Amino acid sequence: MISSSFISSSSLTDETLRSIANLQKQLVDSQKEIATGRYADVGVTLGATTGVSVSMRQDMDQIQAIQTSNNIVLNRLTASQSSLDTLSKSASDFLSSLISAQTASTSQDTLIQASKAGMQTLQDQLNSSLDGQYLFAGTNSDVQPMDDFFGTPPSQGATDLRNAFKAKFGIYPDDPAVANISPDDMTSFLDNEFANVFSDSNWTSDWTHASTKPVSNRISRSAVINTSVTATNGTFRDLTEAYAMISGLGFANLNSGTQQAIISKARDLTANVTGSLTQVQSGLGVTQQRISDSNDQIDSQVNFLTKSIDNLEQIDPAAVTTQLSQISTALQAAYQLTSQLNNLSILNYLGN
Amino acid sequence: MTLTQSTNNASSSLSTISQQISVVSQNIARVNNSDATRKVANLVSGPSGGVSISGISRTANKLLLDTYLDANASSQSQTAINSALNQLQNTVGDTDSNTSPAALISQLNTALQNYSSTPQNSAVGATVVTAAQELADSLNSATQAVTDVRNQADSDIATSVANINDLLSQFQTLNQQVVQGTGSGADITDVLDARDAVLKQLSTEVGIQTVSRSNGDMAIYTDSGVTLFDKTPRKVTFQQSANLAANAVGSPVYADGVPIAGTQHSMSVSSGKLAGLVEVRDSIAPTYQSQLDETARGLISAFAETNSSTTPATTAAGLFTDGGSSSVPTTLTRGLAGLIKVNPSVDPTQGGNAELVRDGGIAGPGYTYNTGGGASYTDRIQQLITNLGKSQTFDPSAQIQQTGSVTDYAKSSVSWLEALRQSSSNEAESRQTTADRAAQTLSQDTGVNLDEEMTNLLSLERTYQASSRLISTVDDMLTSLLQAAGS
Repeated sequence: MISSSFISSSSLTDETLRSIANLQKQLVDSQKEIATGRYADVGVTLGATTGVSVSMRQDMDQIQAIQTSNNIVLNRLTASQSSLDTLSKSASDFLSSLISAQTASTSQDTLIQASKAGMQTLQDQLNSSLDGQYLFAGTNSDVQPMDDFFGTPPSQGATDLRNAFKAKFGIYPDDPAVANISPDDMTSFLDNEFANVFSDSNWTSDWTHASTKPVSNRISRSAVINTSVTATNGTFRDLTEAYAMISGLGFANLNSGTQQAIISKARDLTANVTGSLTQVQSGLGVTQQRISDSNDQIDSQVNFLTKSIDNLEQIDPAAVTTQLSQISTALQAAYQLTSQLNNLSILNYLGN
Repeated sequence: MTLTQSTNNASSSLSTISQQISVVSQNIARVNNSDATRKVANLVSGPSGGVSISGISRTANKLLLDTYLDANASSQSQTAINSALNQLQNTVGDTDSNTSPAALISQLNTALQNYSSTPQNSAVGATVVTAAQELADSLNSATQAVTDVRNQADSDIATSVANINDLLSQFQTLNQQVVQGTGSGADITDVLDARDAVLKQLSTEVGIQTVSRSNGDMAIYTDSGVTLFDKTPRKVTFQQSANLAANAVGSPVYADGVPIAGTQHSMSVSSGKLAGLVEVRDSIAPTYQSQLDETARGLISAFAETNSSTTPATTAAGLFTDGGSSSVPTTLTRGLAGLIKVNPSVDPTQGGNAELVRDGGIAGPGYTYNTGGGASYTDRIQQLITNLGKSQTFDPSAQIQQTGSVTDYAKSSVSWLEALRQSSSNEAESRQTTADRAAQTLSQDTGVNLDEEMTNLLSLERTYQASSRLISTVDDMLTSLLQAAGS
């Protein structure tokens, strides 16, 4: 009764059941793959390589964050540049006033007005801020870097200057008696006491609240660079010094020889300042360039990383679509087979 | 004389056929029971031409059964491992979802970078704290997941042990019936089927070997050779743990007083659900836990703050702390990933100050880096970003790289888990296929085929008709004879 090619009925149906279950699982996976364009289970498909994908995503997060922060820094730099442009223009205007004052074609009032306007522009621009951050304050960005020279009460710097004047000449600059000061005395005052009021240490302690430490930012994965100019920079001091010579020493009441001595000093200083302002601006320009270069690099890196991640995780839609249709064909065949097997019983043929 | 003999033969045939039909009906009734074997009535011819049933035999195949027991046990252990790994994988998630500690470290890095571009904005500082919070939470919940997997494995071991004891006692009853039946010559084919079914269930729980004896008796040993049943069942014992914390060790399983799983022993079982569960509880889950713990330690250490005003300089936990402690662990601390949390002094929601991320001083006033108080001070933030990428040393017992940044370490942990999952999933699939194939072969060889039984039934019916016809023919002949004699 046992034939050599024996097969039990239950194994006949079990086999079809198992293959249907298996096909259905594959069908679900393929459908998910087509919908998402990625492997149904990235971890199981990649195995140990999953770490590579994770690591590339970490890199991408990091450089994209750097790019975002670079854009913020670039905004800040552009704002700084525009302030410096304004400063530079007002310094040039002042310089032309000084030069024409030497040839006496400009009235002293015009010159004083020009110096006051210049001083105010300087203070305004150094006090400019963006997103709650004073641009020229260095790391001390929550404190306004400059106090008003003409304010009431006068700034610490203005007070120092008055006191130095008093100490030297025995009177305050607003005293009409200043007309008696000789050009030599004034030159000596400018070279010594006045210069001392603007010494590096006095400048950073009495004139500006800015920190000497510029703001630094990470502009690429490895480079951390300084991305601001602070008001403690010597250029701003020199410019302030030049403005203060005209607007802080009772210029209107001085005799014309002394006035000329001051004008000559102020002219020399301002001429230097216009040159060094250009340097400051080009320094910032270089930083801007580095940051945009870094952004360009990041763009190409992001591009590369996106492609690499896709290479790792993405499926070939054509292959999966073909696979899907194969699976559904196989599944249909399996269903067909189940129904055929069901009919294929000897019971159907035992006539009664 | 010969006519009478013919009638006797025909009547013996009728009684044999009814017994055979009874066997066929048993076979048909069990056509869908995969544990039932095909029964055959053995016919013998008598000296005078009559037939009788000498006994019922079954189409067992010991070799195929043993193959199935092996394949099933080995498949079950891998399935247990695979399902635990899939649970652990939830702590990592897909690579494009930001749920893994590795991805959240990268998010923290992003938050720090954003903060460094707008350090004056304390709201951005708070996002760093939030990112840190999420990272700590993910490590905490991953630890919880590992603990859950271990507890689940421990409780599954207890269930498995209870099943084994239950199956062994069922086996004892059936084995006694087989021994008695073999002695008395009764039909024991159904009991043998039931006994084989118990073996199949037993092989799901633990890998077994069987030894048959001449009187039908059978002894069961584990695949490592420890006696589970020999005349009487041996007691399998296990003490389930109430809660397996990260540093707790689960108890071993004993059979007949010999440790068979859960401890280093030469008699440890190598297959069956039990072996897989023990592997998960004592090796895979604790290793993954060590990796999480080392990641947590790496984070505490990367964000630690230094007070350089004291001699020697002191170091204390900064943004991340070991459950609020100020110490910075230097060696693998089991369960650290479950305790790591963001220092309350920097968490605005707990009354802390998020700007301490920028300024330092999370550990205390002496640890301040931004001594000038500048609102755009970024040195400390840059240092923290650098620290995240700085190489550290990790414990070798965690089975992944021993040096590298904490960011890389977290990534390697993902790789380790997924690599294990990949190989385990492939292995589980291939073992499942082997077990399916073995089950199929066993069933094909020993199961019932409905068509064949129906065909047999038809031929039995014909034989019955023929025998009946014989009797009636002889009867007719005898009637004719009697009539002839009587007239």
